[in-house]
Amino acid sequence: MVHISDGILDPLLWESGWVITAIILAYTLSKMKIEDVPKLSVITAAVFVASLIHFQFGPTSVHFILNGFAGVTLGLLAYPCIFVALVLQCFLFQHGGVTTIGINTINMGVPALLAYLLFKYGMRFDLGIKQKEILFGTLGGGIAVALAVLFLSIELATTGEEFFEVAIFVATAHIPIIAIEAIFTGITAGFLATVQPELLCRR
Amino acid sequence: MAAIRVHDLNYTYPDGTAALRNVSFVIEEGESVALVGPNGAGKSTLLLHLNGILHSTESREAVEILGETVDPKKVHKMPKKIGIVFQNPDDMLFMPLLGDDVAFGPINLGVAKEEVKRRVKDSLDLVGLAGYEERVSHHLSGGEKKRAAIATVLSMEPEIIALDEPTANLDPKSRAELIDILRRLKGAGKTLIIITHDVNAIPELADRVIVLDKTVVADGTTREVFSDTETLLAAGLEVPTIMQFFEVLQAFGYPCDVLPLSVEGAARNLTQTMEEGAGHIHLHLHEHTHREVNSALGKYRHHHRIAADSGHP
Amino acid sequence: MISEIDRYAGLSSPIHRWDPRLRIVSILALIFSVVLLYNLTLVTIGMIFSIILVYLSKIPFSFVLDRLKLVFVLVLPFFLIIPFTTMGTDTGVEIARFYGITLSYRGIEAVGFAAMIVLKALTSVMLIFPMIGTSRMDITIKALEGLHLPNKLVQMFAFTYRYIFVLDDEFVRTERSLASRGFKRRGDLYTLTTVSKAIAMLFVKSYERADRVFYAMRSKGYSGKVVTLHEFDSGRQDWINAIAVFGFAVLLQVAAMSGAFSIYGGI
Repeated sequence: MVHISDGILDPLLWESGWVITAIILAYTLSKMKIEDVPKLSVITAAVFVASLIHFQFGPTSVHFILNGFAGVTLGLLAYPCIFVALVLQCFLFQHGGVTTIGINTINMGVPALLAYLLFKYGMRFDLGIKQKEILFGTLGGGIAVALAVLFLSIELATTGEEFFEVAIFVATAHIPIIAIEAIFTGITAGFLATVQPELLCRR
Repeated sequence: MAAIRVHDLNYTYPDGTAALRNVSFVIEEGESVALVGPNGAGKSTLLLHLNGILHSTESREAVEILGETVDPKKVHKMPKKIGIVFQNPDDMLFMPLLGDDVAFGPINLGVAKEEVKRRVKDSLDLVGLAGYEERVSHHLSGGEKKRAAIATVLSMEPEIIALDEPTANLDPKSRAELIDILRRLKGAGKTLIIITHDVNAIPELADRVIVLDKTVVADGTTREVFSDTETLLAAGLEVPTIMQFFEVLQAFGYPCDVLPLSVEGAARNLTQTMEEGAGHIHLHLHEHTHREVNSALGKYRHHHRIAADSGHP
Repeated sequence: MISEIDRYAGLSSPIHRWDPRLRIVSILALIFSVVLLYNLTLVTIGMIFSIILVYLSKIPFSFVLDRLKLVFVLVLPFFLIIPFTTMGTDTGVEIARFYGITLSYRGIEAVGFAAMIVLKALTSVMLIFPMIGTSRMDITIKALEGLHLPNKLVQMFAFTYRYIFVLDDEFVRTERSLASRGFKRRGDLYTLTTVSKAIAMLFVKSYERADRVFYAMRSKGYSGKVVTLHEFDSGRQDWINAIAVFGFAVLLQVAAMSGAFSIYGGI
């Protein structure tokens, strides 16, 4: 949904998308220990499977985007996770485009990294409430999708005046998903905090 | 030289619960040992200590494999000596193709390519999956996956093979095939350590049984351990069905000093008794027979306990 | 739930026989080349070439069309919105007027532009089929290794691909267990929280599984490198194919730069 197909964006945008993704990927991969590969892969597979689950919410069929969730659980490694998930999505289901994998990874991955930072630093505040994970999970999850949609809309709008209306259309269509993703990430963060706290990334 | 020597091994889970306490035993080369114990007794945890994947800071030099202390820093060198077959084959078959999974171990050990190919073929042959190199793991049946997981360990040609519940969740045919594979490995002189709840398979597979319940509570030949009903029951275990049945037969007056452990043993026992009794077996019914039958039946009963302990309707 | 792109990998065709490494590089170049075009005629030529490639690969068109439907639905808004918004804001040179609907030169231009976008999106998706669908996914992943992608990434592709299927089964089981206890997805908050928790549980389980997988790999001597025995070799025919497809991709770009085939000056 948030990933954009081929042939729409200005070439300059998706070309620089590849360059930036290559740089962030190189950096995050260098931060990744080789022992993390099997673990990260299994979790990437889980992100992939969970994002396939469509369900009815109100009048529309939605599915999870999970970039905020990836950030909260995987930290920096959310970026390679999202990259791998997008490539496999493109290969297996032809969701999103080929030339746009770079920029799509930015649209989802950069907000994921921001959600991670928000969660990490947010958890350090003493707010006097019990489950801060729920609060910052909700914020991280919502903000990650909102930013992804914002990035996409800006890219569409800068591509040409013809896309102005499309950008607004895309942005409005995603408002319920932002809410859903925020609730989802809040619930799961709270759940993980009690069941498997080491899955939440506080490093 | 002992194949496995565990001396005073202690291990505590990261959350603080004790998993293993003062575990000690020695397994000689070529021995085949069944490791039994209730759920949560630390059996799988013990297995992971044998090649150093888990190691406890409390007892650093507790495990010795083929005369050498297990060093957690050299886990990747251990497969030559000991191969572990995990309980869930999906955890072991992580490559897209079965052939790659079987080749994974030997390649890591630096085995030359032609030799790897030979080993892949031989290992698959041995588990009855000849020609499965190009199969996709997730399309295999449960029984095939279990055997495939064993092949991925056999290809490393380890001296010792440790298996975690190899016969669990299998249909009777697959179970029989698996037992057959294990017997062949035993026949080939491999040292086997097999975790299992399948007591009826133990007499066929193992010469010796170790009962683990966080610590070693019993260790002896299969017959010795199965005769010690009290210890077994206390650990929440049972003896082979055939053994229970012959104990009931004894109550009916069947003359039998040594209870058979397996169906084959039972057949031998019956034949011998009939030959001695001129072609007949004499069973009888006395006043005390019912009491004896009931006591034989009651000996191995676990249930009622939940009802008795809970105290609430 | 997961349908497989490599369902027709077992067929035999010139595309199937083509060395996957060269095949991926060449067709990828073609995809990029088509997407870079801003010329309806050239995009159409590119699309025809792609259809020929799909035909040569013997992958059934019904299979391809099934997937194209989804892409079409996704790009349709562009096709519908662009011409109207463009017409609405600036009618440009008026060509004709029927029943109060104004057809303008800019309007036609915009329709052409929208059509081009849709064709590009469809062409690039269509090319994925001869590119990826003609060998088994695992071979494709190995080909990526052969193309010298970073080892960590290739390993992630391989393991992720393997565990997608395992976890999918696992989630289906979770769903069944929810259903067997009377849970039904509705469009309400309760559904959302329940599904969220089910997914969170999937993560917990997969995390534990990840541990066991890692243990299993270490038990088999894993120290960070995955090597397989598969070997690729490319002969004369592989290179001829590569030159043909790659050459075509270059040709499209040359034609675009020379300004040939441009009907509408602006696009």
